[in-house]
Amino acid sequence: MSAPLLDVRSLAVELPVRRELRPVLADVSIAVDAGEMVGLVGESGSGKSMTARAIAGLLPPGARVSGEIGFDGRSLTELDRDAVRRLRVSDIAMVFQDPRAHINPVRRIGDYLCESLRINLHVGRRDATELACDLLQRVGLPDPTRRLSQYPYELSGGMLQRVMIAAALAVKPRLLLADEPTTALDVTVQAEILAILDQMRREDGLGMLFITHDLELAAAVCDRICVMYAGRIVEEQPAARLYARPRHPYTQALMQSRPQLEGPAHDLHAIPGVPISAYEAPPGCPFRPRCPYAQEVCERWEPHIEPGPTRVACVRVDELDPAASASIPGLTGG
Amino acid sequence: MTSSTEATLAPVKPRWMPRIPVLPWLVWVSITIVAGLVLMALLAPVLAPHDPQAIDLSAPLAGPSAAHPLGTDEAGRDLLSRLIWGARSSLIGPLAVVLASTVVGLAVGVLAGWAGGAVDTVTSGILDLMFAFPGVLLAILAASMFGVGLRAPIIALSLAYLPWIARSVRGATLVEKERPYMAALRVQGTSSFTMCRRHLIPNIAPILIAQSAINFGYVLVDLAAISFLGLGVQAPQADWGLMVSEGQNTIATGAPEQALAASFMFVVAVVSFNILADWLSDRVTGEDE
Repeated sequence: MSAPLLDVRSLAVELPVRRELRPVLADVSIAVDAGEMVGLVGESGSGKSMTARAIAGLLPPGARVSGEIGFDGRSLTELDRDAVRRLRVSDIAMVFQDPRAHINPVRRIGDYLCESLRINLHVGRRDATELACDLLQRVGLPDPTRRLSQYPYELSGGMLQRVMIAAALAVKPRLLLADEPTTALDVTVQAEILAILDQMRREDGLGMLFITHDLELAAAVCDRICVMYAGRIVEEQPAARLYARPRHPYTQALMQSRPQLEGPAHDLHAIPGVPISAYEAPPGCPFRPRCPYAQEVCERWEPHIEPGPTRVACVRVDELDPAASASIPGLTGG
Repeated sequence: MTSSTEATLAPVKPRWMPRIPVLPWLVWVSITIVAGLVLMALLAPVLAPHDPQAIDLSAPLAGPSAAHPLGTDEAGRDLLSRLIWGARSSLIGPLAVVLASTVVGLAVGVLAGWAGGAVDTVTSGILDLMFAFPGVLLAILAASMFGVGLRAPIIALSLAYLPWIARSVRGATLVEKERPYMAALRVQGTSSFTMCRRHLIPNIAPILIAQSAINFGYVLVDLAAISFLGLGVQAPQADWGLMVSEGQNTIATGAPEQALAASFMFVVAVVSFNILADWLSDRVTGEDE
């Protein structure tokens, strides 16, 4: 078996907060193959974005990283800084949640796109403009020549997100980190953006890490899904199977918290308590305080993912599983 | 009914008509005055009715007349012409100071804010030291050390006003470099230099321009004080500050026109620049909210 395109192993990140290092990620392992879309799902503050930022090299100064980030058989944590930067620039691209905040407001769309092309592909001004037009056409933006001379405020959020995807595509990356690329957009625009991303994946064999808090969206578009809680991955399964049969109590609770379109309307189920960050996690299983199945054993258990076909970080998964999956109504079909 | 509805509608402007921005009337007045002063300085040779240095000892301290609308000074020189020519040296000095302090201050401020850490600590420390020196005192010191004339005071005042620019640029840089689009640029492989030049500076330009405009008014007064003290522009050149100092001798003898006219120009120029600067900085801070 060849090494996956992106191979993150036991990644842990600590950030300095008031001169004190606080853990934000613990024991995160994710693999993304070429042409594969892997979903990273979790609540706000669960560490999804921080994982992407660690891979893209965007951690704030003073961050302490341990573990391994492998890309195409090379280690991003061991190569020297220049080599890592070159690799990240040429092979890894990132699309952010809020395109309006992530594009310089005082410069034209054309300047933004062409600058990236000229830096990374070393093309001249005229070639860059032509390429930029092509790129905008690829992401389905009508009238690209006009767009190039417009300012970000003249474009809608959906159009700007296409521009940002075009800029990401410009370097012909092999891995795309999509950090909630559709969260700020309308549902219809969301579908179009997802179609573009899916097309890129199929045509160019782009590996994609798709970060979202929308479990159903992830289940619909991803091959595999990792669920994060308090800076850890608590469950990883193929998307369809996770959707049909979530095994970690947290994933199950998430699934139960969704509004149901079919069947009689009833009050939404909510997970008791509030989501916690990694540094607030109690010893033992981090989900323990909110978990309906928590027992004494969960306090002593050191959280980790059991190797195996379904990777679940729950000490009681085997004894809970049959009862738990049966307790979720309407999920047998998938 | 229909006609009254129509009457309340604003007339639709044709597209070719230029859009006139809605500004407070005071700002309009200031813009007009500043533009007038700049034109006056540029067109002095055309506008001035007489040679500002032509001495006519037969008519000293003459009152207003057709030939001399504002009268003449002690040496019989035409006051109006001297005021018009005086706009040049009175405006060029502050312009040079503002340009120099803005360019250097921008570089220092961006460097400190962008690099952070030890570079920032050292730079900010040096800037604090420079703040402690009164600008006019420094300029007087420079003029008395390196000889009278505008050059030494201009260099000294540029140094004195540099910290004001550098400090506001540093603050703006600290805010701007944390903006999400900066992270997006970094992922794209944009170098720090390009990020500063093409992205940071255009975004902090409004703050820079407002701060420079505020400085302009102050420098105008500072340089006038230096010329008044006899350390700046030298006689027989026409300069407002110099004219105030030359004119004060004759105030007691009942001919206050020269001192009054030159002072009036100062007040008008400084007030106009300050109103413009205030309005600019209000707009800049307002946009950030």
